Amino acid sequence: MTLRGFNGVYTVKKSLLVTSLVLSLGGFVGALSMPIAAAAKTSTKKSSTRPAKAKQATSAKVVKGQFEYVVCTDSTQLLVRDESLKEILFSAEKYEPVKLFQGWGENRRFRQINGEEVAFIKVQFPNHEDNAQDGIGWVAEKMIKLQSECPGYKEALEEAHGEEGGDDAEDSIEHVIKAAETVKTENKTAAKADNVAGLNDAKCCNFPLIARPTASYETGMRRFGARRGGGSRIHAASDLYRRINEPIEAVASGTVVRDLYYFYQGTYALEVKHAGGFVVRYGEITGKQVKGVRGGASVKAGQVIGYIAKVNSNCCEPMLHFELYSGKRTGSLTVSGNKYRRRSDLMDPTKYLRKWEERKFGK
Amino acid sequence: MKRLVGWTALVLGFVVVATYWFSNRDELSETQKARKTVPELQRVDETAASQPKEEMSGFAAGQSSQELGSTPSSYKNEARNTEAPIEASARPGVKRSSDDAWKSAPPLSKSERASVQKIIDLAFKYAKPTEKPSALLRELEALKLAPVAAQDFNDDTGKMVIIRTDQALDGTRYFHAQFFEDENKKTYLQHLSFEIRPSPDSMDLAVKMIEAKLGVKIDVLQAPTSHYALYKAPNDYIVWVKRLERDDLKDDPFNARDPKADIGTLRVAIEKDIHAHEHE
Repeated sequence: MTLRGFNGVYTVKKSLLVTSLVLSLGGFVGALSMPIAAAAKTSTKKSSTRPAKAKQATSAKVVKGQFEYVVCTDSTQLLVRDESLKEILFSAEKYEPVKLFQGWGENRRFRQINGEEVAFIKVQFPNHEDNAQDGIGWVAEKMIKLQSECPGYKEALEEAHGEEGGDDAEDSIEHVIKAAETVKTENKTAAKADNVAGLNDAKCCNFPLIARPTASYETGMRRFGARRGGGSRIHAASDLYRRINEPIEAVASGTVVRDLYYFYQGTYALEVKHAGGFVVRYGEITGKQVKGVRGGASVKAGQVIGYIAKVNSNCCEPMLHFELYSGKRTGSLTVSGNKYRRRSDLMDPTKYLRKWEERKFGK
Repeated sequence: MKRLVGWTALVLGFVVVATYWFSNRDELSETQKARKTVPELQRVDETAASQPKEEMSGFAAGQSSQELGSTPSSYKNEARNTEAPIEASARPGVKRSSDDAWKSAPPLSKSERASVQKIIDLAFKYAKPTEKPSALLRELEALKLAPVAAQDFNDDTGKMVIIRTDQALDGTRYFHAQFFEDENKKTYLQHLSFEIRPSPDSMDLAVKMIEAKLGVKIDVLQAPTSHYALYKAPNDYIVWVKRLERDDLKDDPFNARDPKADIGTLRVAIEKDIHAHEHE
């Protein structure tokens, strides 16, 4: 059949031509629109995952207190099992701190118990990290809660540490929360520093190391006030060099106001408000928690409160980074805006350390 | 001639449509591959559930079944084939895994690389003077990481907010951020870190991504090796990357670590240059 021309009379062949043109055009347009539609869908999806504007509230869980999971059971102990969930490895005490495994590997399993499916999670107990299992085992998930969500935890902590000085700790529920491992020191000056009225009290204080520093904290980059960053900054502490994992001691009695937190290059810090009101940040210590030395706990002069660490850049010797504050200000100890990058009540600890060192080790 | 034009147009139209269809099929199969871990997860759950019902012997006194409810949390649980060599070595009578086992672990997958990029992006975004923890919480929620924030306050040293997540992106874990509020009521990020699973290419990947974020002028404090790198970042921050060895796996108060399986884990951190250490 031949096409007779475009005079308005449609033949079959003309229909075929028109149809094919329409189809190809439609196919071309459709092919073009698919990626556009997909991009529009993706951008819609992206915009839905973009963070909401500042005024929109978050539904994330927000709790008060420290970020720490604890054993939260009705009974005094929680059995810790192996990965088969059948064998018992060891037991953990109520309110004992625990860390939850996350990420790669299997960290959650289920087991039927009395007809009920129970979830078990893989955890690690810091207080048991030295045992044969490295403190690792499996426990019923429901028995582990954040400390602020565990009924009775706060009261138990207050009872265990007592109101002042911790002397009543022995009468408290120590079978539930382990007492601090106090090192019985023959250092009489430590005992005297327990109830000082302040830094200038004649009884103050205890030198925080168990032996003399291996290098002077009054010279070089170790001294308070040393230039850093080409002069743009000033060193805000005295660096007391010793050996890695050696204990450090509280300089006076006081309260741990901030538990261990990530401080610098793989090391940690602990903040203590001491009798008389001054505050010390014990920095560049390990993450190993001394039993009983936790946020809110009382400490005594000379009590072991941590261990010396070494920064992971290996720039320097292991040290205690000792920062001293009068306690007359509030807010975090690290700030911006001044050369020390510290709160405005920062003090030079040198003369106090010198006095304490002399008293403890002699001239 | 016109017939030829008509047929050509028709064929062209079909070719265009067919080409687009086949190119999208590859993308779909990638998505399906990424979901392979889900069937593995289901197999593990089914195994536990299909065991004959039995009572747990020696269960702690007072821990009756009434106390143990099935309270599914949002914990992510991936059974990875990469664990097989290490788990095999944990069986009785088998030699312990060496400290270099990570070298023979599979390289990071495409989705794992994307995860690392996402978190590094977040880290650099919040390592600035004015960023707030609430904004970070929203972003983590949007990533479906189930963030949890703990606000710790005391009269003497003020407020600290720690943000961690119940979920983790592929190949990563232990997202951890610490914000402080200073005496001028300014909030700032003091530390943000996360970990990447042991693999031979994780250090190169992390270094590459970090250097890309740092831009043209990279202030290298310690040149990257297979185990460590340290950079200066803007706004008084530093960035370090450390491959965790046996001794590094101990005594972290926040992160649980298996001293056998986690050797070679990469830890990445951006934090305030609190000490400004200099080599003596």
